[in-house]
Amino acid sequence: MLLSVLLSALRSDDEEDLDLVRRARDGDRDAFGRLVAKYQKRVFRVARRMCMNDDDAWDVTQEAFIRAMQAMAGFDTGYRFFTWIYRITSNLAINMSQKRKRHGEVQYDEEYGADGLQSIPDDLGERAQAEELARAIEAAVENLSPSLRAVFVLRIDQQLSYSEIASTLGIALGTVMSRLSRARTEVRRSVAHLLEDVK
Amino acid sequence: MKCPSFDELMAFSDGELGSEDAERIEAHIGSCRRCALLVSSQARMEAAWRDSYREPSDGQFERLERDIRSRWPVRRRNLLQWALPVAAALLVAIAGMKFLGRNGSLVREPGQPAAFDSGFETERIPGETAALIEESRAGEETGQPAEQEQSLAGLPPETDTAAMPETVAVTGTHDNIRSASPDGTAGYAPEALFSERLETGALEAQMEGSISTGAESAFGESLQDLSAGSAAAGGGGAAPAGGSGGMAGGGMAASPGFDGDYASDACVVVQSVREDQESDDLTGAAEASEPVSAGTVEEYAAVSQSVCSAVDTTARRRTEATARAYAAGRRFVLFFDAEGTPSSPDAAVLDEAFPGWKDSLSAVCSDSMLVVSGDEISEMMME
Repeated sequence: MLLSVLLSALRSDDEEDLDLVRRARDGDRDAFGRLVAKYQKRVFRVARRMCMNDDDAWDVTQEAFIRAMQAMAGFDTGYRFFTWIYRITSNLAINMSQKRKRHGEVQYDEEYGADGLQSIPDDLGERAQAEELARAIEAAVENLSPSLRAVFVLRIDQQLSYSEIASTLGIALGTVMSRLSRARTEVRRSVAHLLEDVK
Repeated sequence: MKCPSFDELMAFSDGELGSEDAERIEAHIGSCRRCALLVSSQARMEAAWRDSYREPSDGQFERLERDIRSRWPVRRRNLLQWALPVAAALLVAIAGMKFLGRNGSLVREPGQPAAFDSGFETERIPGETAALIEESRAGEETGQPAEQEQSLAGLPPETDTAAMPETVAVTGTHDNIRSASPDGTAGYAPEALFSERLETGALEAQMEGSISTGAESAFGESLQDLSAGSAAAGGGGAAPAGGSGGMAGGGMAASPGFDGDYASDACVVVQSVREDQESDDLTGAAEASEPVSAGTVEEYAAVSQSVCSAVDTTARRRTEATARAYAAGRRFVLFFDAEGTPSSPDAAVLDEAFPGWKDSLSAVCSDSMLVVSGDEISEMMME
C-alpha cells in the first residue's frame, strides 16, 4: 500500500516534470523557472558536496541550469529531468574539481559541517563527536578522486539507487558498485580512528 | 557461517539486494555482532556527513533563480516568425522604390503630366496642350492606349489592320508637315510627321525598314546607321541620299539629361529607305542639304550630319518644352559645390527645361543644398 502510494507520487512528480519540460521547450520561461525552483536546492547540494566549497558550487549550479536551458530543445523526454540535471551538474562538478586539483587550488570550507547536525543526539559529547566525524569525512571525501566522489555523493548524500547513479553518470551498474565500494573503504579508513567512538 | 563481504553488507544497507539475499544477510547480522557493528557504524558515519549539510538561505536561491531566468534566451524561432515577413516587406518596398525611381512617372505629383516618358503627350502645343493631356489621360483611364502612345510604340498591332487610318494622307512633304503644326513651326514638324507617318498605311508602302527601340539617344544611333549606309534619324527628319532618301521618326529622342534617371523613355527609331524622295520633301530644316550622290559612306556621313543638325534643332526645342512641362509642379533637389556648380541629377533636368537657370543661383548657393520647384525656377527665369 505504502509502496504503491510512493510509486504514484513518483509518477506524478515525473509527469509534472515532463509537462514543465515540454512547455519550456516551447519557449515557456515560467515553466523552466519552475523546474529551477524545484531542483535548484538539490542541484546546489550535489555541486557543493562535489566541489567542496560554496563559490564553485554556485557557479556549477548556475551553469548547469543554463546548459539545460540551452539544450532543452534536445532533451529526450524518455529520461527524467532530475537525472538529466544531476548528470550535467555532476559532470560540471567533476570537471571543476579536476581543474582545481590540477592547479592545486582545492579550497575546503573548514567551517563547513559545524552546524546543522540534526540527527545527532542532544548529548553535547555525542554531538561534538558527530561534528568531528563529519569534518573528518568531509576531508576524506575531498581526497577522493572526482569520479569516486561523484558516486559517493550521489549515493550517500542524495541516496540515489545504484541504477539511478549509473544513469546519471552514464556508467555501468557494476562500475557504480565498484566505485562506491572503493570510496566507502577509503573514507572509512580515513576516519577509522573516530569510528571506535561511534556508538 | 562465513561473514558477508563489506560490499554485500553495504548493498544490504543500501537496499540493493534481492529479497533472498537480503533475508540471508539480515539473518547473519542478527547473529554476528561484528557485522552488525560494521553496518551500524557505517550508517551512523554516513548520516553524520549527510546531516552536516548546511543549506544556504532562501534569498541566495532566489537570486540564483533570477540570474538563471534572466539568461532565458530569445527564441530564434519566435524571432524568425516576425523577422521574415518584415524582411520580405522591406525587400518588396525597396524593389518598389527602385522601380518607381526608374520609371518616375508612376509617382505623379498634382499637375504633373502623366506621360513625360513618351514625350509627345506633355509637349506644350499652344492651344492644344490641355486637350492633348486630357485626351491622353482619358485613354489611360479607359484602359485604351492613347493614340499617340500607339504611334510611339511604332505601329498598330499587326493583326489589327482596322486600326490603321485609311484616310490620312501624309506623304512627308513640306506642306503636310507644316499643316500638321498649328503654328507652322518647324520645331513641331518632325514630330508631327513621325507621328502621323506611323499611323499612315500609305506610308508603309513607301517604307522598307525596321523599327528598333532603345533607351539611348537616337541621334547617336542615327549617325551610326547613316554611316553604315542606312538612313536613319531621330526626331523625325529626312535626308536626301542621291536617290536614296533617309527618313526616320523618333518617338522621343532621349535627351542626355534624362538618360540616367528616366531611362524608361523608349526611343523609337524608324529606319527607312526611300528611293525617290527629294530632300526638301520632308523638312524645311533639311533644305540646306546638298544633293548627294549615292555610293560612299563618306557621303552618307555628310548627309547624316546635316540631317542631324536639323533634327537636333527641332528636337532641342521640343525637348526643352517637354522638360518644362515635366518640371512644372515637380520639386528638385540640388547640390551646389564650393564654386556654386550644381551637381545633382536634377540639375540636368533643369538644364533641359530652363537653360541658364543656374547662372543666377551659382553665386549664392555655393556649398549648399536647395530644394526648389520647377514653377519657382520658371518664375525666377521670368524675372
